[in-house]
Formats: sequence, structure tokens, C-alpha cells
Amino acid sequence: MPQIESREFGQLTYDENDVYLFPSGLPGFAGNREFLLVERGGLAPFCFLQSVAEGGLRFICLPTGMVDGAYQAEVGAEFAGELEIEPGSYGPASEGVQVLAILTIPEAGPATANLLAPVVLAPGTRRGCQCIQFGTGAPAAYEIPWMVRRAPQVVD
Amino acid sequence: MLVIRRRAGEAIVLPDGVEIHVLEIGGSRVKLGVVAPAHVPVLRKEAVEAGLQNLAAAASPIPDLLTAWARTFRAETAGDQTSPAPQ
Repeated sequence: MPQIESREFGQLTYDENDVYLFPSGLPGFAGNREFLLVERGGLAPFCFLQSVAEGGLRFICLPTGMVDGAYQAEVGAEFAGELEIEPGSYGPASEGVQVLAILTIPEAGPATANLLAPVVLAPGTRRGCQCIQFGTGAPAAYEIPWMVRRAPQVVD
Repeated sequence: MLVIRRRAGEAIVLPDGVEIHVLEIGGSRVKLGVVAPAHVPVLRKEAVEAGLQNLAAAASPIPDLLTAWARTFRAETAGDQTSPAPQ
């Protein structure tokens, strides 16, 4: 079984069938086309997109439903083609598709979710795509209300 | 910001052989044509923003706080797959 020497999770052994192929890579990281969805029980519902090629590259993610329950990702024909799924609106209740927001958690300042460019994963086709929401005005740095609110409580 | 009024069929010219043509105006949208040398990338602004946000996200350390957030979230929602209600 192949392995990744990951910065955050140590040595990750994975099944090649679990890899998601991002045909266009991710904006800013076009060369990284293969990612694993890493989940850690104690950290759920947070999850991580770990690059297969680059052990130090990972994104902290949260299902968009946990950022904004009403949020729907519009997947147009171009992105749907990459994912090999039907074009349409996908949200928390969509079957066969996972919609994740990549989080930015700066050392100082609020945690934000990228709702401008949600990551859509299609486990059935093992494809992934960051589906930019052109013309919607969706924010790239949406402050997550409950993460902001809880920030001062961490003293355990 | 420089503001220029143009009609369909007209264009503006930028340095290095870049031309922006107004092809069609309809409803709330404008169809533009861009002429540019191969080495000049033409991107929609949202794609650039997405790339910059990804760079910031990749540089975000995983905070110790994440465990606490996760625990609180799970305790409050107890299996409910939506955001916790505002307090």
C-alpha cells in the first residue's frame, strides 16, 4: 500500500482507490491533482484534504452545511464534466456528493470558510473539483459564527 | 478607477498587445472578448481570489483549538448535521 509522509498526520498509508483526482488541481496549486480526504474521529466534523504529492500540503475543511445550512454549491457544466456528475445545485442533503468549505484559520483573527470556491467531492467517480461560484458574490472568507463565538472558551 | 463608456463592437487597448472588446450587451451581463499574448494569463477575478485564499488556507496551522471546537460542536448538535443555533 502506498504511503505519504504527511506533516500533520505522520505516515499515512492509503488505498489508491481512496484518492480523489482533481483534474484541474486547485487554484494556486494547479500541480496538485491528487488528494485524500483525511478524517480523525476526535476532530469531526472537521476533515482534511491531504495532497498525495506534497506531504506538507493540506487544507482544513468543514462540510458547508456546518458553515451555513442553506448553502448550495452551483456546479455548472464545466465543473460537472470534471466531476463526472450532473450539473446542478449541491448541498448537505445531496446524495453521492460531498460539499466542503476550505477553512483559513489565521493565528490572529477569525476563522473563515471559503464559500466562493467550495470543494465538491464525488465519491462515486473519485473526482474532486473546487467549483468557483462565478457571479454569485459568495465570500472567499466567510466568518464562521460559531467558531468565532467559541474562540475565547478554550481553556481545558 | 478609470471609467470608460463603450458600446458593443467597441474596445479598449492596454499595453503589451492586450485588447478588451465589448462583444455583446444583454440584460445584466456583458460579453467581453480579450486579445492578449500567450504569456498574459486572463483570469476571472473570482479565480484569482480563490487561489489567494487557498494559499492563505494552506499556510494556516492546525490550531489546538480545533479539538475544542470539534468537541463543542458535537456535544451541541448531538448528531444533527446543521450549524449549531446561535446563542
